[in-house]
Amino acid sequence: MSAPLDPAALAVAPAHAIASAVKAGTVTARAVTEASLARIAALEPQVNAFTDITAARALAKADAIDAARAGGADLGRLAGVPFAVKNLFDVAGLTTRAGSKINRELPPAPRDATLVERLEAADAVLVGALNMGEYAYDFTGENEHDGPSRNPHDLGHMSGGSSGGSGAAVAAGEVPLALGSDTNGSIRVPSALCGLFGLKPTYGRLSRARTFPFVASFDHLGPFARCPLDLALAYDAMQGEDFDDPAQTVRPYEPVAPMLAEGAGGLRIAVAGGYFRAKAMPEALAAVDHVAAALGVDRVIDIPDAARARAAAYVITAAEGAALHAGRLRARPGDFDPAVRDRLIAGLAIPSGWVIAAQKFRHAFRARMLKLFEEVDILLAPSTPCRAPALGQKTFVLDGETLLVRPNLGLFTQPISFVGLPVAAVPVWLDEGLPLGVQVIAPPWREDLALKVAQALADLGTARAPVASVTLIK
Amino acid sequence: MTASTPPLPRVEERDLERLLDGAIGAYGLGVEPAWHREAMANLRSVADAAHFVMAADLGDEAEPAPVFRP
Repeated sequence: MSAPLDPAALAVAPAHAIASAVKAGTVTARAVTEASLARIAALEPQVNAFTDITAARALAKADAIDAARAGGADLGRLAGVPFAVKNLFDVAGLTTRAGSKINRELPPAPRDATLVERLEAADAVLVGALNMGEYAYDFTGENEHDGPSRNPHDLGHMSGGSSGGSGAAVAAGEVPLALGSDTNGSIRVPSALCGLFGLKPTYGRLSRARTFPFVASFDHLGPFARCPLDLALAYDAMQGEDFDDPAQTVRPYEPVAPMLAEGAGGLRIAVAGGYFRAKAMPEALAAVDHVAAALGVDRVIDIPDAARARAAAYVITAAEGAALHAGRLRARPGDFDPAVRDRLIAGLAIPSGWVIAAQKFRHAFRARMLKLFEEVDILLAPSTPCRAPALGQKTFVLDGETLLVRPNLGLFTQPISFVGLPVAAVPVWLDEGLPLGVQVIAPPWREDLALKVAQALADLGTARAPVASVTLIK
Repeated sequence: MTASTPPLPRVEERDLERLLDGAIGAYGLGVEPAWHREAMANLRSVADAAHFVMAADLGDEAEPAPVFRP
């Protein structure tokens, strides 16, 4: 047996390092869990990533893991890894608030979401539920009811949304792994703003069972981490058919973690041009160029009609989101976040013909993207048009046009999730300022390609996700 | 659409107002004036996005993206 490891140091280590140490017996799951809970308690007054902390459950699970190891059992691939989930995932015994005031009056969930069950089946340890934008209609990470989750790299700035707590918790080193949802960019935007790796899998790949929805046509779930291997380990643990999710596509189990070391050599990679080179601050494009240069990529491919794809995503989101909340808008309009409520009211007025036209365009755009992927294996595009805006910032200027921050932080992510393509979001640090993100976009069901490129960029040092130096409250 | 189909006009403000007020009535919502102003601004954004989408002629046989598997 190796020398015992310092649990406090392991609490900010990558998930795979924690799992290796717990499996080897150089640290107990309980010690790692206690260290993670202590770090959460110390940082939360400033970061505000968590809405619920499940300490008793976490310690019980950690003890069960330690007992299993003592009994000679083989532990799972995420043994003793603390993780947390956006508060739209059901957690048995907690109310699934989905970032809202209204839903927190509902009874506690009777059972965990499928993805929570699967991570715990791999011996990960759930430590809590995370702050998010109300009903996931958000790119900022701000929340009227719970306060904003703050960017750990600069507490005066946005974490990004709507999975802001997921991004903030991982960037702060409170947990090495978190789950979020991504309808139009809600994993990729916080990954960029908080300087993290994130994975939005192919639409229909992972079960959405027992999570609160937003837009059924676009809702995806996926992990945040500080390295690609941790994303892969979590993703592999969460794959598999689930009859509780009628929208899931039945796919074979396709593990990617063993393939990451294969590298990006031989892949046909191009930078997305046209739409993806406009309406961005120079540093957002510089981040893409930095990644392209590291990979030796000088090819640029236009994606025709990406702007129309974004427009169609906007229409479908507004209509489906509004339909979901029509009853609550009638019964409790004053209890919504105003920024969400007024968008939902507008969505109720959308004629059906607009939505059907958008869904028809979605089909056509999907065919175009599949055709494009006959020529390339990977596309590179910015995750956001800028670094993290300041908390409370309402507008920014892109290409000389003043635009609202809230709906436009995701203008580069929306056309991609519109057709469900898998994306690894990679963090790029160009200077001493806040990080930026680049989308590594792959064809449907090829998460392996996106994660191989992410790993190659991490190996090169081009993409990295350091734990933020948050000032601790004594 | 055919070659003789006239281009779709941008939805005028008064028509958006009718759409919004109709929806508010149909769904039985109680909407305060400030909310109505914000909702109108959002509906204008959606209408312009939809106008842009519908300007693409996909033909009569175009299928919506499938989400239902029998």
